[in-house]
Amino acid sequence: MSSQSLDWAVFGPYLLVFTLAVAWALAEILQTFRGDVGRALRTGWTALFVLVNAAFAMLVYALVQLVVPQTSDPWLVAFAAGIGWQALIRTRINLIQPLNAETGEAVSLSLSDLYGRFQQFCREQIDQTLAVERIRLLDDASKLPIPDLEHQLRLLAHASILRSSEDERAEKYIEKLQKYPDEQRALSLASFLLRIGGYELFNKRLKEMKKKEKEEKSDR
Amino acid sequence: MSVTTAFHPDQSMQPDAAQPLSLIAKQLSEISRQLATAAEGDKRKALEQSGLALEQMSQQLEQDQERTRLRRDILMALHQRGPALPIELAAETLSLPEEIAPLLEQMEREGVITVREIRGGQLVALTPRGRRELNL
Repeated sequence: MSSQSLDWAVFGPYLLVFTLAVAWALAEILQTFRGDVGRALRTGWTALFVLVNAAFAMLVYALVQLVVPQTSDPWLVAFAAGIGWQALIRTRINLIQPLNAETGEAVSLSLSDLYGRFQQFCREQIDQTLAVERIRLLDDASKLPIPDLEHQLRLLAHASILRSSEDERAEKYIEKLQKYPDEQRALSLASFLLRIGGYELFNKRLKEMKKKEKEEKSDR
Repeated sequence: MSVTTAFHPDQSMQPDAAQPLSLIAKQLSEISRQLATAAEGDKRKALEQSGLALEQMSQQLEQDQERTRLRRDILMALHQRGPALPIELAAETLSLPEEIAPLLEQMEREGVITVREIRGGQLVALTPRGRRELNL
């Protein structure tokens, strides 16, 4: 057997476990951040979540390799470990179960709780990262002239799938904000724009608006 | 004749139910006032008081209806779009941050949302209890 085929026989199953764990973790991210998948995937916390998941899955596979007989098909074991690991981290294992349930609680190792906490931590960090980016965007947008923001809002509302209702809502909001100070109006209009347009579109529009404003200033 | 003003509709009262009740209270208030113009003495005073009480009840119902609608819109927005900044929730409900601030505080106390401090602001998120309130 050549060294290349030996390497593949050894590392291939690890790659399979890694791929399964990454796919599983990414599916969880996609499901949680349906509204902002692209940005959520680009955060460092997503990378951490995916890598920790994959690292533990490979560790489980390595441990299983030590236990199961060498004659077993490593690809099958890798597949079982890759899938089984996902079931394992969602399980509560009772290490000691008292004979009489009333005498005390079972000593349990809840991998599900631990994983849940890690998942929650990563989710909170991703949420925070996304929110901080939105705050920065709103801050930038609030410096733009109000008529420009109102114009953009009308354009976006008009282009919305739910056109009539968004049109109505946008007009109602623009009218309501008339009596408030400029800064507050700009922030509220920008928030509304962010809500209907989404981050990517609003960011793009914002860049265009800034560019236009810059050009107008240089023309004067 | 006396009408009690100690009317506190349940928070879960549907806005659909509050609206007709508010209209009924308003119309009863009108009737009471019209009757008061035709009455004299104690009867007139009692009818005027009733009219006033019914009007207050109608206003309270309208406020509660608006609050219930706002509460549902906030929960729905958090469910559909995930955690949000208070200003985003204000835009979603066509309000201003200071208008929804007392409601957000109340909702946090009730455990239907959480408010976390983040760099540059606050982040509002739905709790399992909030999700239950939406019947999800």
